[in-house]
Amino acid sequence: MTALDTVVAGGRVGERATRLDGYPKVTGQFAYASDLHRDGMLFGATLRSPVASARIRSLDLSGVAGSPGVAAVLVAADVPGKNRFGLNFDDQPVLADTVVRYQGEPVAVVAASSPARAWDAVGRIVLELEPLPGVFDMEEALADGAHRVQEVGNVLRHVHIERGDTRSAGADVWVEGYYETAMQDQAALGPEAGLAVPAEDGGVDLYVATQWLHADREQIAPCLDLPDEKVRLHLAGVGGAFGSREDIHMQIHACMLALRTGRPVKLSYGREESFHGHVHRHPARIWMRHGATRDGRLVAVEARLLFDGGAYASSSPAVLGNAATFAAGPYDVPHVRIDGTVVYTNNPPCGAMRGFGAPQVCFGHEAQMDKLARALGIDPVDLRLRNALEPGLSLPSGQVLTGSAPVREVIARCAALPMPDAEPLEGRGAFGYPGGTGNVTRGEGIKRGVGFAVGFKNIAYSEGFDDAGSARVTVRLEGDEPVAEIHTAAVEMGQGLYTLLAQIVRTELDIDRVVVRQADTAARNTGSTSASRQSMMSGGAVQMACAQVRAALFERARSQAGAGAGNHELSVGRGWVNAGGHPLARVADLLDEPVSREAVYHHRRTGTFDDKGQGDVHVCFAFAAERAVVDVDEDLGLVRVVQVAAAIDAGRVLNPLGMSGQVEGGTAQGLGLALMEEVQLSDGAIRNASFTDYLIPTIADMPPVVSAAVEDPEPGVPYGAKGVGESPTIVATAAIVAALRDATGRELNRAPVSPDELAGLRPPAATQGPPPCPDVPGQDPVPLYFQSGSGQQRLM
Amino acid sequence: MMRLPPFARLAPRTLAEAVEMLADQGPGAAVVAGGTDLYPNMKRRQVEHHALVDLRAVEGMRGIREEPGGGISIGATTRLSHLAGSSAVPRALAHAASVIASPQIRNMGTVGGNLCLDTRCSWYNEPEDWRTAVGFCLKAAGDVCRVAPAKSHCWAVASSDLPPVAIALGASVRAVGPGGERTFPVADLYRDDGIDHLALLPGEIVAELLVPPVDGLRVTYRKIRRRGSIDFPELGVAASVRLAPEGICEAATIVLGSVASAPVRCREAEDLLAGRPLTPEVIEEAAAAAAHPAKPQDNTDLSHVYRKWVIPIHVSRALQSLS
Ligand SMILES: Cc1cc2nc3c(=O)[nH]c(=O)nc-3n(C[C@H](O)[C@H](O)[C@H](O)COP(=O)(O)OP(=O)(O)OC[C@H]3O[C@@H](n4cnc5c(N)ncnc54)[C@H](O)[C@@H]3O)c2cc1C
Ligand code: SF4
Repeated sequence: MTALDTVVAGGRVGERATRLDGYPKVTGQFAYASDLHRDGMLFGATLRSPVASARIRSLDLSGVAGSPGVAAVLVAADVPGKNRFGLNFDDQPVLADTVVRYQGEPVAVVAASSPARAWDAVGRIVLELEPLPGVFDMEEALADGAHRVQEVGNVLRHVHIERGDTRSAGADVWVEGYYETAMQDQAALGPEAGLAVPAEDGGVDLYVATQWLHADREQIAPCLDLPDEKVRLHLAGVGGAFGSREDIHMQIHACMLALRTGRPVKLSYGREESFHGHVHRHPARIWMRHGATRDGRLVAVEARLLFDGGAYASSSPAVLGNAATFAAGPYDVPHVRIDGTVVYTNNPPCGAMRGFGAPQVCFGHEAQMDKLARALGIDPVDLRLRNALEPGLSLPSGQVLTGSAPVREVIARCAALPMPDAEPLEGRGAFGYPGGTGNVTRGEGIKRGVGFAVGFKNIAYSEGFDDAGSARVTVRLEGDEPVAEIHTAAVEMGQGLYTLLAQIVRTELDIDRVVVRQADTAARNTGSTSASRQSMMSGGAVQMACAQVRAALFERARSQAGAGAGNHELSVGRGWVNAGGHPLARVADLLDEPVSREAVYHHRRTGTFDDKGQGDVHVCFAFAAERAVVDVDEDLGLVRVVQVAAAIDAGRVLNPLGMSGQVEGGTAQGLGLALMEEVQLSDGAIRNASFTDYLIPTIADMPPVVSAAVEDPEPGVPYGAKGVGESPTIVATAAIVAALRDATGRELNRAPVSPDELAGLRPPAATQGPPPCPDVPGQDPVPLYFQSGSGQQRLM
Repeated sequence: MMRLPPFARLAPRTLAEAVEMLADQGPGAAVVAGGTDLYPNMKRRQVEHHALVDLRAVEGMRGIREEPGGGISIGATTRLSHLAGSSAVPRALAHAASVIASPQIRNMGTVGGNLCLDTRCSWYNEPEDWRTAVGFCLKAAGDVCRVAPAKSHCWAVASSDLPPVAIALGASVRAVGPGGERTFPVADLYRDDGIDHLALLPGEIVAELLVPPVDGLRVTYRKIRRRGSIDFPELGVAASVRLAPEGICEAATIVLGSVASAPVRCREAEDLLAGRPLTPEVIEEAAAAAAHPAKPQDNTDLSHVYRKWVIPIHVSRALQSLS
């Protein structure tokens, strides 16, 4: 799956196709990036800053010189090109030069003949640091006189969205709330890893588990001072990503070491290091006021969002743009005022994670809808139905929904899914109670609760970004059998994309044997595997390429058949080109020369925000609703999630099996944030960088998920299909915590909810009120007003 | 990536050989059984050993036997999964084994390793770079306790699941060392000191756990943890009562796990039960008293306030299930 191309068998669009990487993974055959090997390779190790904010006084390498097996020790001065990279713009050093801004920031890298020698050498480097003040709280970051994390100050981006006038909205009832969500780790099971191999042309070949090969190269090449074509990336086996592989981690370090030593260098993080090696989900603080008329019409939403971006920008500006545009929820609200800020702090950098800004605001707006329902005496599901967005209506940013927006349908379908069977309070099996096999209750203290949440998110990139998809499809003969080969730079990271691309080829060309070539930068850029976009974007490109291949086959068939083809419409099927339903030419006979076509698929153009935050910034949207049923042991504060029901807007389901995998996995990740997942920090240092202390749900914590797909095809999109990778995660946290509130009557305004809070031992998260909005030059990321370097933008 | 440091591994075939090898290696050597606790701790450089005496090949040390005089012997290298599935042992003991860690770890982890498990603390059980960043503590290379800096005492938590229930069952341990062998109550294996938490003599190895006949004793083990699997206990409660025919409690043992550096006996609560019927009122009174000897610190996943708060609830439910 990594070094070899993949042969895919079985399944057309709409069928339950088995994941082609499923069997190899379950049986241990799948080679992950951490399994990469080259004879004679060296092993890399990274010296990281032990503290979060300090000036580098000296870096003494003399203890390493001459150590057995050590081939290179590189520091900032050894970075061949520019010592800055970044996804949205380049503010992050490859190796820290003057200061360190977060705990775990790389300062030096070593290559040695064995991992033990490499780590030993790291231990011999003497790093002398002069402590600097740090800022570890996102509200403090905004305070006057706060330590400036970056030269431009601590405001990374502020987005202001204003429509109508919330003060004259005519609301009869107002509800107010404050919400917090914690920093979440993507907890991909495969830690960061890759292998850099120096090439004869002075360039480098990098085998790496990533989400977007071309964006990596975009950032790597300038740091190596190499032209793009000398930096060739090849996809290695990805052990999950969920956003954690969007940023650069070991890529540049491995390449530098390989170029310096002239030997292949592998860098492979362990779990602890992985916590420092990738960005996390932004912790958020959210203040909201919702106003409605007595009959349940939502007329005003005021929201103040604050996101902790950590020490470097990563994709924070885009995350904030999303959060701000979705802050009012999938509802029709005439009067809106939303202010969102993402700040720099000396905490670990935050960036992309499944949901990309939407889960945080969904947690807030859905709690607000429940509060409103209570204040109005209206059923919460009913209140949501009354205010649901629909095509023709618009978001707070003024964007009119022109495509599919089945908000009412997802709400109604979810509410109608069967509730779990009633269970007697006594005599359930061990897993029938909170605390599970720990045997803590046999019915004592149990309260049941039901919660509901609706949410949504954009698909593909926004704010004017043209993240086109592209693919090449080649049909050739193998023996006497036509074989279709797909070549893209699209990353399969476990979500089932390659299975799906093969389904598309099989559907379009009726060719059974499909080979997916290993993704690399020899293929054209096809954008990131993120933003739920690959089914649409790379899927679209594959579909277009197939159409062109088909046209070429028809032309060959026509010229072969001469007048025999007549004016009939041609089609392919069962290995034949048919004219008017009658066989015209065998496909195999048309393939003396292979047919190969490359296609590029663009989504519709989007715009940017004006100074009131108005703009047609998103491509299209996927909606979801979930209902959670929980049992809470009120005395002990323990939880059993009994069932999650999900109605997911899929446009059209391309692979029902893949879809249920996404819904269950996405729900599990949302459940994690609701109940246990939190990267705990103290003065910027991660306190729980291991899976003993950073808890993720196990199978014993997962409830059955009953799900329904809502199929309302998106116009102008291949098969009308929307990605479903993120929407279940967005709503799961909100739905589960709502159910906990229902069961306990407690406020529970912070995710994850701890047993302390459920048992009434810890008060709700407190606030002194929203901080004032910072002064900013405009809606763009603040550093862009000061510098011009840009990351992904060059790829457009 | 965390890797094991180099060490010598010795594989004795008999217990006598093991004792000899351990003595030969001198201080800095230790025994290892399943390694599910020791190896991770060595990887994190919490402990360092130049030599490990691996007990897994020692003959006669693994398995569950009925003793001639009644009662059961459980060899120290018996795997937790074996104990969990055994119908020969008291159900509460098998249940306690079944809620340890995960299936994979229970397949490796042993009874002896569990009884001798190192104490845990959220400041100590951390990767080395974290400890380097915040400073070391008394338990490893430091000179201050990060949890309670005022005293020079380590409060690391006895977090294993078997000891409380073994104590409630009245079980003993047979240990063999250079000075010969001795058998003593399980409770005497522990000292309330997070650093030096075992009362084994130098070079002593736990050979077996001896469980007396249950003989009408009612026993339960209950464990609070955040997830449905894997996690160490935030609180373990083992309770046993012997009821006279009229329902009067003749004797009770209540043991708390994970609240101190050793399992904690709740004598006051036990005394409140003795000679009285297990009515809801009596149970409440005893449960409230059970919390008195426990002084959890802020050094596990959940807050010390929570861990103290849940003791009476947990104990009360345990006693109710026995009444
Ligand atoms: C993820 C995870 C979760 C865990 N969860 C739990 C849990 O929920 N509950 C729990 O109780 N434990 C838990 N553990 C700890 C551990 O796995 C078990 O306690 C197990 O029983 C230890 O046995 P072992 O044979 O692997 O011990 P080892 O790691 O081999 O040894 C542990 C210690 O005991 C000493 N030792 C071992 N055998 C003897 C002997 N015969 N005589 C004297 N000293 C001896 C060793 O020197 C060492 O200091 C968990 C561990 C992990 C990694
Ligand atoms: S209780 Fe104190 S001394 Fe003991 S391990 Fe924890 S921090 Fe260290």
